[in-house]
Amino acid sequence: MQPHTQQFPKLAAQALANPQVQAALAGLKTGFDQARQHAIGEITPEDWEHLRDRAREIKRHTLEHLDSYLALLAENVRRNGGSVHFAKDAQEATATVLEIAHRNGVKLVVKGKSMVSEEMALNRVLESAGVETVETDLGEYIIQLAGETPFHIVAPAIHKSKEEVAALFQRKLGALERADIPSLTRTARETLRQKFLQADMGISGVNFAVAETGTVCIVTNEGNGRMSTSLPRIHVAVMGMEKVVPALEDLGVFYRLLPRAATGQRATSYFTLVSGPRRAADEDGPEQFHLVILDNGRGRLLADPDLREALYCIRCAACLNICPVYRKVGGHAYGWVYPGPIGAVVTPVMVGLPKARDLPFASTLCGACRDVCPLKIDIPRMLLTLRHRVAEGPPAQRKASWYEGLGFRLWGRVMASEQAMARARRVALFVQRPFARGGHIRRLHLPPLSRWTRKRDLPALPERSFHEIWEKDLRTSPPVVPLSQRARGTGE
Amino acid sequence: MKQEEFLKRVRDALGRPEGAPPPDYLPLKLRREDQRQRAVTIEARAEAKRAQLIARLADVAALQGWKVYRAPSAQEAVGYILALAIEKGARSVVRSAHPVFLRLPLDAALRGHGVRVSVDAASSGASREQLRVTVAQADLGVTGVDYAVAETGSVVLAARPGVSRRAPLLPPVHVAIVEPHQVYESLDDLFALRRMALLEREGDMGSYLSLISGPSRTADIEQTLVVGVHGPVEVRMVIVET
Repeated sequence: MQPHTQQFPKLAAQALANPQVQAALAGLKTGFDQARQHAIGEITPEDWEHLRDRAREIKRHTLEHLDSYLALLAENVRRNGGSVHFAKDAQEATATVLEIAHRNGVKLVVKGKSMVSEEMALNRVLESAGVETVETDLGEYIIQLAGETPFHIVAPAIHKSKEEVAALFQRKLGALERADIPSLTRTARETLRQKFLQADMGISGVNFAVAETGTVCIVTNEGNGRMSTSLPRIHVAVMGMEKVVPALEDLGVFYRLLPRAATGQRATSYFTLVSGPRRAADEDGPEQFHLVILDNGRGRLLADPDLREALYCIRCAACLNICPVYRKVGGHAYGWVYPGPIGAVVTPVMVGLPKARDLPFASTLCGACRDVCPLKIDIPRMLLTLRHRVAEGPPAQRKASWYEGLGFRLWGRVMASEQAMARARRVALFVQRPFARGGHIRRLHLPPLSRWTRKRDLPALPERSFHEIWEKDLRTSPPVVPLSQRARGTGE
Repeated sequence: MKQEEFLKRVRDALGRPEGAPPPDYLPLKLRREDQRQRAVTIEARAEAKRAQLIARLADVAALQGWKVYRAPSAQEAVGYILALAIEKGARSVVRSAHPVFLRLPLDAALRGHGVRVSVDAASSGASREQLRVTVAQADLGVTGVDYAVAETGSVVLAARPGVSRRAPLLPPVHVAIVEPHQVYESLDDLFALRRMALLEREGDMGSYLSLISGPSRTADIEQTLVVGVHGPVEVRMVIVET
């Protein structure tokens, strides 16, 4: 997928001005996030913390030995009768899938939900090569019909109202009897059931890949994952290389974390473990199994000690549902596959920081993402790291304008000196007089300051500073030595 | 890209030399004897608290969206499934060739009421294409299970001769028949037992393992829950307590 991450400010503004997107986003806190809290409440806090720590430890260990575990995974997939393909970037991965499709005369592909396949823009490439490709996750199907990209990692079409979906189905699938949500779902079921039964190839993502058994695991609620991996004669699974876990037993840890963090379920309806193609005596199942393992920028995260932790992500989207920025600007503003706080970390590394330099700033650094993350990924720390790199990068890539830099240098000077601060206060009090009303400055007309007051009020400076109030009215103890007269190093 | 080339890139990213020592990871080091010991412990624990586990399974399964029926006998289990078939107006039922059906005279009961029963197994003599069409058109899919997990309200099916992937998936109603000895406490128990099976079968754990913990569901439109988007609209768990 071509990133349009450079357009973050524009796309964010569009989302903010779209009442329907705002209504859909408002539901995330009461929907997914409350369900998550409820589900976690079912087990003891100690157990939950223990699971999170175990999962972190497994991820840390696995990534440290990623080459060994990928080799073991590949060996066992082959032992199970499957094929393994390694791809350094999206283009190579897509070419591999296309080649498998061509070699087998594939005409119709059914797809389970896969964020990696979004990275690969797989649908577009297959379609333009004449292979009909149908998304089968309901949300993905809706956005495929609409020609859009996922708005949310777990619920891709969360921004669409049922009326919009109804109009879309009407236009693309023909007459609809009713437009309520169960009827729309039934329409999708009937249309897609035929596709499942006719398809030559099923493509799925991978939630976890178990090295010791050569097994790919798929977590779904709809059952489209089971359909795509059971009915067509070829199954192709695509995975980011960080999805490997060493042992079957590790699944007990991750399958307890993912459904709870993602949708607030103790278990999803389906957890499907695929270990190669059907065996000769099996009743059904694909004759061929292919696993495509993709790097596509993950190696850069791996090599970066400050950012490697981003590869712990299991794509539960809990950080999206809690993020005050995501919950206002939504998924499309981020301009690539992965939105929200985790997207603001991985996207700049995967598509290149110069192209996505706005994303690390799309955060209030409130830390809610780190708190809800089942893997305790320290997203705010990594956002700061990336901000630092933007600020210290080549001038052409810096975000700040020359006057912002100048302003902050001046600010730094003033803040470091008590006298300078007092003088600045007096000047500011004088300057704000014509603008301040009732303790607030509602509108400044001069750019760049006008950008601040476009969406919010600026609290006016009060006539008396806290310092003055303290000295004159509140102090009961003897005065402390002023900062400027203390010995260096003890001033903190 | 060749595997070796790819792995070299990974090693370079990690700053690891080629031929670095293999990782030391405890769960991978359990050999067959130790794993067998664990399996024995798990079996013993499950056996000791079977009644409790069955009650827990029934409770959690109901929360997960199963309709649960605890049948006091095989006969009553058959009666329940027959009544369900009649209630649904089922004309065609498919079932797996799981050994549980040797203990459950389901076929005769259904046929006695004019319901067509097909076994989704090559051993039934039907061609593969015929079977696929039969299952796709069936009104009810009835299967045995390999395990049931109390923690998550799940039944677990491993695909193998006689047990297809599609029979519990394509029909609008799935009935899973659970026997007491199949009920285990936790996901950890399940994966430890599967690892045992893997070690006993020279590294082949079979092509497909499916944990089913409720009906097919989605909340993709306006976060509104709808059941039955792709797989079964309705799932029933029959626990045969003999």
